[in-house]
Amino acid sequence: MDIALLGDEDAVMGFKLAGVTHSFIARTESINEVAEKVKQARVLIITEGASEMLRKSMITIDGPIIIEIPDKSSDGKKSLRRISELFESTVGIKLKEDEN
Amino acid sequence: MWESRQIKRIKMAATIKTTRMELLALKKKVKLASKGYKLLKEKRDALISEFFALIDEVKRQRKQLNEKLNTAYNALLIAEAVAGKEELEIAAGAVKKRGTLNFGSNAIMGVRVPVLNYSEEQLEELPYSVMTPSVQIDELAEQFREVLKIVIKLAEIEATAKALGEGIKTTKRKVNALESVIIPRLQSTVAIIIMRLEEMERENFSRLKIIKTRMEAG
Repeated sequence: MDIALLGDEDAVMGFKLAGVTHSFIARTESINEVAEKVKQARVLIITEGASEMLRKSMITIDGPIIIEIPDKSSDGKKSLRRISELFESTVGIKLKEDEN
Repeated sequence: MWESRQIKRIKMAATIKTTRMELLALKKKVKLASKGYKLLKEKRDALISEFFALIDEVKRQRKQLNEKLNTAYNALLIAEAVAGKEELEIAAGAVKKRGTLNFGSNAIMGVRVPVLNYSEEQLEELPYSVMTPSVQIDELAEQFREVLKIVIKLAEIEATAKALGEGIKTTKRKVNALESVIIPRLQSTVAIIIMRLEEMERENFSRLKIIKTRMEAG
């Protein structure tokens, strides 16, 4: 299990078509079992919504390299902000907000 | 505060061996520490410049990913409308795993960073069953494969950025510790030893003087 995906229905559908067979839909009621399943992956693709869900249920997945992608409805600003946070905490300077 | 520091210094001074040997050893230590300090500072600066470049790369790739993913999601919507959700689900369920992910690691200035290599196998036949020969699904799959490639690349870059960030933090801590604790402490110890040695010399001198006057008198 190299790559796994945790996300909403659309993301799961799309990435299944792309060949990511270990794609799981994140739902609040079954998030625990699903999180257990993806722990063995080496790269975990996760949508912003699913990542939020994990945070709410206080589940941390620390095995794989985790990469956040935008949801269908989001513009990806959240994932970009995480990078700005990393930058701030290491260099100590605030990254200027993007123009657009 | 000041007093307690003074007391500490006196206590410290009491435990220092005030010999010339010790002085020489300490001087060597100071030299070594300042050399290490210089090197670590260089390492930190190099890591930071590397980190800057990576952050720019992440931002660029993220932008690309957002665009591609958006069009892919839209295509998914259209395909759902045209081919129907069941059809899509069947097709998605039939897709086999394609491509393999190779793991490696690299070192940037002594910081371990992951390297991901995703290679896609070219398939002769369609990955899903022939029963669903919709062009939409084909295009859709192609778009998501593109997205997947970018995602893997981005995963590598972001993980590298994170590792570099950690590296920068630890190097910074070391630099700061050397600069504001270790080197000043060593230097103050050297100063104390020099003072004591001079004091001992003066004591010796005056002792000799006394002996001399006594001998002359006697």
